[in-house]
Amino acid sequence: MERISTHQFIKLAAALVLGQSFLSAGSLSTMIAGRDGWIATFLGFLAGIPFILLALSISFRYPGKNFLQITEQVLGKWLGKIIGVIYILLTIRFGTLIVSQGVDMYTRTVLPIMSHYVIVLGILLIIIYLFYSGIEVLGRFSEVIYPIIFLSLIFIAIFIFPHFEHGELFPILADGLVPIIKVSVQVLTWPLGYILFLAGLLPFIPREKKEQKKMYKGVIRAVIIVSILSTLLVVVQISTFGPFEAARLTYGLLVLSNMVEVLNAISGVEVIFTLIWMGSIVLKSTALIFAGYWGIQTIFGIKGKIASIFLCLLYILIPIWLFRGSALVVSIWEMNQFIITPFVIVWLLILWGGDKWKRRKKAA
Amino acid sequence: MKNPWLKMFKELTIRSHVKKVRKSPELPIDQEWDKPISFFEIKKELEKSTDIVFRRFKVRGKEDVPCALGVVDGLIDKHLLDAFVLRILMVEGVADPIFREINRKNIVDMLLDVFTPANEIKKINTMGEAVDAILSGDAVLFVEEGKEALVISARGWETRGIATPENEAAIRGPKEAFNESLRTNTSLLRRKIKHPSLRIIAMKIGELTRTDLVIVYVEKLASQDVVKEVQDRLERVKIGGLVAGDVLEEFIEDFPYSPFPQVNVTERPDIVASDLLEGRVVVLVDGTPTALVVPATLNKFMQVNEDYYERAMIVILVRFIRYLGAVIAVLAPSLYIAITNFHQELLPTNLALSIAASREATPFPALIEAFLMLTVLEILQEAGLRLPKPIGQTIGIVGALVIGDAAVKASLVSPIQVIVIGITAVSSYAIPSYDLAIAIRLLRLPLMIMAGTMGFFGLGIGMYFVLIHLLKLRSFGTPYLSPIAPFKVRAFLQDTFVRAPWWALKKRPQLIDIEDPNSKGRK
Repeated sequence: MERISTHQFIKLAAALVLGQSFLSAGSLSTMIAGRDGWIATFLGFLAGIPFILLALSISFRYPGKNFLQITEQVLGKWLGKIIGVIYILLTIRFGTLIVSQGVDMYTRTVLPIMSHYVIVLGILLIIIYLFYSGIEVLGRFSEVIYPIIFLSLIFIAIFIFPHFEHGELFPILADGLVPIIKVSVQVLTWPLGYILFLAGLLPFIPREKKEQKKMYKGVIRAVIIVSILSTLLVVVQISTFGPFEAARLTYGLLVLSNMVEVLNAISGVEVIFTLIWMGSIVLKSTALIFAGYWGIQTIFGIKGKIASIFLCLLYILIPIWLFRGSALVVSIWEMNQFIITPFVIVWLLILWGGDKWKRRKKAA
Repeated sequence: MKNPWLKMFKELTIRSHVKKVRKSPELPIDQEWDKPISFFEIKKELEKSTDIVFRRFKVRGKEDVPCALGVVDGLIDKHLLDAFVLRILMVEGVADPIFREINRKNIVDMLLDVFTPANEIKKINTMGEAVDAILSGDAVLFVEEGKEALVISARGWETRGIATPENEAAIRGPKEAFNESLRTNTSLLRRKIKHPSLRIIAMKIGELTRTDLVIVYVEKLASQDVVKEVQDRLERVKIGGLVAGDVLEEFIEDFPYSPFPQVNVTERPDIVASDLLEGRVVVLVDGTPTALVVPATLNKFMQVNEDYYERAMIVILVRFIRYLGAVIAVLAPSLYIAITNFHQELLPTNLALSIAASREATPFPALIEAFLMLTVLEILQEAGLRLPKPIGQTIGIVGALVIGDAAVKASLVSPIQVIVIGITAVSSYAIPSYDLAIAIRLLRLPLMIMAGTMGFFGLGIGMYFVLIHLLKLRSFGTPYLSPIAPFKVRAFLQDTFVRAPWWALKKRPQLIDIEDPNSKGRK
């Protein structure tokens, strides 16, 4: 059986929590929280840590099993199957939305006249190749891609510094705490979205006690780094555009990347950043295909090629017909807000409660 | 989740190969390989070849015992045989009272224990062993009607001396290279690693050629799994004739359909010795002046032996240039095509205008231009490689200067395109491994087509494909991109893009899976 190392697990966690969130974090957070959007982003990511740790702690009690198998064991076969079906549908829908967002990023910016069929197929070819290469390769892919994405974002923050207007960040907390809490709940979706993948990944992670401690610490570190990075990017967008303009720009970071200029020689490098960020879209979508695949395997017992071909076909067909433009961003927002967040929180809490109750019953 | 079509294709090709081997003409002796020795049968079979000589004589002991010495003329040291075998058995031994005890029954043991002062001698009793020994260059002493024989090592044939490496030149460090003699090559390694843990396992491959080869490794440093895997893969090789060790590369690599080399080939004993001390396993084949080293990682193909003889600061700079060269060699034409066709906004205005002006008169799009230029470059490289040196240089000058200049003047290609292709060619020479440079040449064309049809997006897809392929590759279980992915901090900082100073290399860098990573001292 394939396995990933602790280091790969942590890098995957960081890369998937970050995902493609940086593309729309600016507009999403400033839309409600205005110039305090950066505080909400920071808190929203940090709020995800307890949920990830809870998911890990439950899984360590059932070594070698994924969350769906644990659910069936704890909550019973039928409830487990129902949750499993919802899980499969969610991962497919979420994954295809992310692919569509990648396509949207290209058609809106660097390739406006190219047919979106070509872009969908191009991105999906990479995703399918990565999926067929296995989970170990996905782990290694995250090890290579995550540092590059990280550096590209830091690069933008540094080189956009001359455009900063520091006054845009003040006054802090002018509208009180309520908008910040509202946005934090929205941002919480990104770390919770990672739990969807983690739910299936569990049998592939190291099982030794020593490694488990490392994983706890590593995940906390990864989420903190991602939250600082995302906060920095929101700060950069607010400082450069102001809160109103930042809220209006769907992909503010792409506009920022186009503003980068070095020594009058490098400019208009938006296309290079889209190339790098395509990696994060590929990574997250592939992770969700894996999640869907494991879900189908566990719930329906369909193994191997049939499940994988079925999933790949869905991933090709759905993004071609999905919305584009701002309708897509709204669709992703709704998906995150009203489906993923409640589903993951309720699932985790029920599982945690069920596990505890079962253990007490056993002890009694 | 392996591709079933690929699996089927592999099975078909392997089957057809096995059939070919089976159809190859078999030596009659093969059928009687395990039979007890019969001198007359061997003589009948082998004496058809004029270079195989059977010297018949009698040993005059208690009774006259007819004997014969079978050798291949040209493969043995005649002086050694005359002085230490024939002379003793025919002339000097007779004076010894013990010699006079020799009879048909005890002759083999007496000669083995007392009267043959060769340093390597052994008793054999099958036809196969006897024929094999004669054809490998040993002398075989038969008792004409006996069932046993003695193999006396008296190999001595003409070999090339130890010369300087032709393809891996270096300014600093040792200047010796392997040659075609297997024993000389193992001795070169033994001289560098004088430790009992250096293991040399012998094998034979090739149904007709029966080529000798050895697997070399350092016990406790090399993973036993890798050693076993090398042995298993070599044993599985079914081939009629193995005339050069390089052929084995295709048989033992993990991904035969990948353009990237998965076995490191070198002619330098100092590199091989360093590799052995890093825990790698080496295959040396008789008649081949190069060694095959596994596991191989991409990082390894970008390093040269001088990296360890120069000071660390210099090495960091040189390695940076080498990696930069590799990136330019892969991407320069594709970037040029993508920028001029799709993303002109990336260029400063003056440069964009200058490129547009230079391309005004050219009839072809940048992709066709680049394709034409690269085709000419490839032809020139191939032509120059096989020609005698002076003519090869002339071809290079004619190709680079005359054809390039004429093409620009005739407005077939733009001057900028010539510069781009020129830089690409020069950069590809910065890659130290010829095998890797060829792989990069192979990748350039598809990347150019992707860039020419879809700009940076297409180039990105191509690059992601290559990256995932590299991440998928393994060489004898070691991930090809190790220590970058899977990431190993120590190895990454000590000896990947940079090399730490020698005094900082306190532990082995774990470039590959080795059994004793804590043993101190790298090389």
